[in-house]
Amino acid sequence: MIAPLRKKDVGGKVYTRLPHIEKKLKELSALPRSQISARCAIQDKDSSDYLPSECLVYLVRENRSRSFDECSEHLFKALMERVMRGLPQAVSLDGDSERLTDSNVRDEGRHRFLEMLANDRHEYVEALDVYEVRFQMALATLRVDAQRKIYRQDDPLEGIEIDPATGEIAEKVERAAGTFDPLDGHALDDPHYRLRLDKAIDGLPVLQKTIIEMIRQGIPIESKEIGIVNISNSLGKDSKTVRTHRNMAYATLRVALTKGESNEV
Amino acid sequence: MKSEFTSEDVLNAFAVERTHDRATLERYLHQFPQYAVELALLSRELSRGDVDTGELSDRDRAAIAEAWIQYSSSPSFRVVDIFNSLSVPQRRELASSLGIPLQIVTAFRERKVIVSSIPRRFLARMATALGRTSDQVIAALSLPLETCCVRSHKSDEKPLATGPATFEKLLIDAQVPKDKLAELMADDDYH
Repeated sequence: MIAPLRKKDVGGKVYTRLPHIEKKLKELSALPRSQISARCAIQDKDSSDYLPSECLVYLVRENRSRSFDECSEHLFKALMERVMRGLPQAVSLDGDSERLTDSNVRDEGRHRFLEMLANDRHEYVEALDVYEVRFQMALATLRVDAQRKIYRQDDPLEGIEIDPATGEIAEKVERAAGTFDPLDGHALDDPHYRLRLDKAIDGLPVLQKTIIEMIRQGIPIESKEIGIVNISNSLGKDSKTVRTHRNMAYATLRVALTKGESNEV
Repeated sequence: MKSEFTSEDVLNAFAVERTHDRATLERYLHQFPQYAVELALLSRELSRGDVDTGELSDRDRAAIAEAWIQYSSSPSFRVVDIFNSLSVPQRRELASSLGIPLQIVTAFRERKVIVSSIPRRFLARMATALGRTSDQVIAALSLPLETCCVRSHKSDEKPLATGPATFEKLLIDAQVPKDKLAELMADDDYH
């Protein structure tokens, strides 16, 4: 029998694995461990013998309180490889230098996941349940957790507060950003541009990254209607401050994305 | 309502949503404004789709090998012989709270039950009554017989069959009424 998950969602409902994962787990539970062990090496996602990451998490956890064998090691290492592949690579856009923040996020993510697995050996860790539901989505939360921990150390959310009386900084960054809009719809259709944009956004401070994502999703900076979600309210920042940080982000992205080109806009 | 959830609870719930469009993000921002930054960052991470950074470096492989050493040497939960440590009044109380004859608790204590035959719902109830997790109860029931204290005192309970039996067989042998037996064997919540 495949043990049910225990973690409840914010609506109080227990998380459940997707039906195809449950089905796969039932098939796998009938196999000898030597066969499961051999399947750990398969990396072709289209192969019928490929072990979905959600199944790897289950199989590692299922064996956590028993004596380890060769299969345990193969399962664990295959799972950790999937986790590592889902964490940011510590290489910059130019491919030469290593970005320290990415490197730290990668290490933090790996440590955090390992810690959960190790703790799960002596006390059920509900946070791991989500990895059995949607592994890639859960990895995204792991990246955010790791980013938040690293950025808290060297990039506090409290950025530059704008003096509404003078608006001095606001004017400077507005000039620097010009009319450049990195989220322009046409440019976003180009996968190469998207890749460079993503990398450039990765390098922004947390507050600017947050604002850019909300703008990308179409959330307004401010709204006169009560009850409408807007960036200013969500972040507890004055709308002028939000605009200035947006312009600062645009100015940074403009430099990163037009490197080698004329900066005349 | 808003403060009872941790950032992890909220991010997990958002992550497994079917779509991560503006409406979904707005709904979460409205419901959990205290996690606005985390939600926006996650929204951005999810927009990347499945991330696979490709081949691992030698440094990564070394880190994974090191992780295995750490994981395999980390302590697994200490298996406690929960049932043997119960006094007779405690065993009676457990039997009463679970609605089973005392001899079933004794069968648990003497490893006379096939663990996999116990419905998970009953296991969960028993774990709660014992103040343990289901895993700990399963581990205790799976302990080899020689590590537990075999009955040496004069028993006032009707003896059960010697070999391990299914939970259902133990209930039948203990003459548990049919309707009660069906209730104890029900496992609907877990399917």
